[in-house]
Amino acid sequence: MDDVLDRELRAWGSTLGTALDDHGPAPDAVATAVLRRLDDTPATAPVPRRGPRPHVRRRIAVAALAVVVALGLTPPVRAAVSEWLGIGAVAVRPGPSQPSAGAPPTASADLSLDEAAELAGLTPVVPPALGPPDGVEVSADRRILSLTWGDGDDTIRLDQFADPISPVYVKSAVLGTTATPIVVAGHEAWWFGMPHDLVLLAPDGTERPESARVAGPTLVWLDDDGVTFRLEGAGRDRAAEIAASALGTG
Amino acid sequence: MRAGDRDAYAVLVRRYAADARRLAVLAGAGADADDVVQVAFVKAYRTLGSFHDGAPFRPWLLRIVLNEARNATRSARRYRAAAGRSAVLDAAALTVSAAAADDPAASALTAERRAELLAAVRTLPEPQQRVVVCRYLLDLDEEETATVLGWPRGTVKSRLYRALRKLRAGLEPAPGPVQEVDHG
Repeated sequence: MDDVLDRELRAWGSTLGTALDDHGPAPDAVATAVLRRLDDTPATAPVPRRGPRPHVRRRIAVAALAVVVALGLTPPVRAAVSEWLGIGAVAVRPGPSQPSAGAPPTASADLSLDEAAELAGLTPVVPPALGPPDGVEVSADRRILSLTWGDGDDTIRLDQFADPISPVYVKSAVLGTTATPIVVAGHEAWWFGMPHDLVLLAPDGTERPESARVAGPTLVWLDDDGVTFRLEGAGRDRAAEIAASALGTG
Repeated sequence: MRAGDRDAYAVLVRRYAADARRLAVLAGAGADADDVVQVAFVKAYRTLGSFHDGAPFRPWLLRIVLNEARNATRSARRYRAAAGRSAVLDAAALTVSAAAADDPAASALTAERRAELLAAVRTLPEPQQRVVVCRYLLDLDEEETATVLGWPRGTVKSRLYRALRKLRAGLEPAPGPVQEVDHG
């Protein structure tokens, strides 16, 4: 179908799409209007899920009460959105896991925590369970603040990013299979149990292929301030322990 | 967590607002397009819980948009049917001339040729117009198109095939008067 007509139709479509977008409201305005409508319209009774998977039901049971009481939000909203968007600044797209992964890269010891905080505009959380980090770095675009402990195969890496709007990372995983939602200290978290592809995203949402690497098992969670944490290099139980300590309850 | 719900959904809205509006306009919602988009996002939110796990969001949202656009334009559609006009591409006609001349995509295609394409697409039966809109104007793949239009995938394939065959017959050679296309 790669012929003149096909190309012409595509060119026409892209011109037309741009012209239509130019006449439309900004995406931010649409989001604001939709959220206002959601606030104004009383929520109807939550629609029961058709055959929820058992782990989802368990998680909803844990999380549902607090959510429903205050805003009348449908409990599975976050779960469903997480399945499309990942969690916080980590997006997830369906994809196969990888057979193996190396240790996460270590950060250099050149930067102090205060300098890093200044650069990233983010006060780094140092989980008491790990103690002072051996390495501290901030990505060139200043969106990611990373702490590392140890070196070689024992490296533990904790990335922190505050921007909840544009995803910073994309992980390939199958949610519900190679990625499972867990609850850590009352907070939603996702455990990516298998080595997987990890790609950095530019602020405009395009992938940075040069950043791609295979990441080992990783725990991702959000704190109450909306900061996303990505912990790589610890097993599931240890990772949950570190997350709980980072959240101030471990 | 509560704020998280809102933030997370706001991200979805921002990401897909433009796509949703393109479809609403192309489906004939006209001045109601922005309202159709908002209502569709609210409905999508309310029914997230009943939605099939793991299925992609965009085609499902666009399907809701299309239904909303149909509801919003039911009376307009009756008028169009009476007047023998196309419901899908009225908006496309309006924007053909509005496209900026310095648009890089436009440089590949003259305004004249765009008008010809529009005229040719308009001669197609409405289901074929819809499939062309989804595949080329919204850049959906075959499976997404099937979800949005609620057709089996084979139907998407065959209707697109017939649409392109008809367009090819009508448009070649390129500088021909498309209005005289006979598609009997």
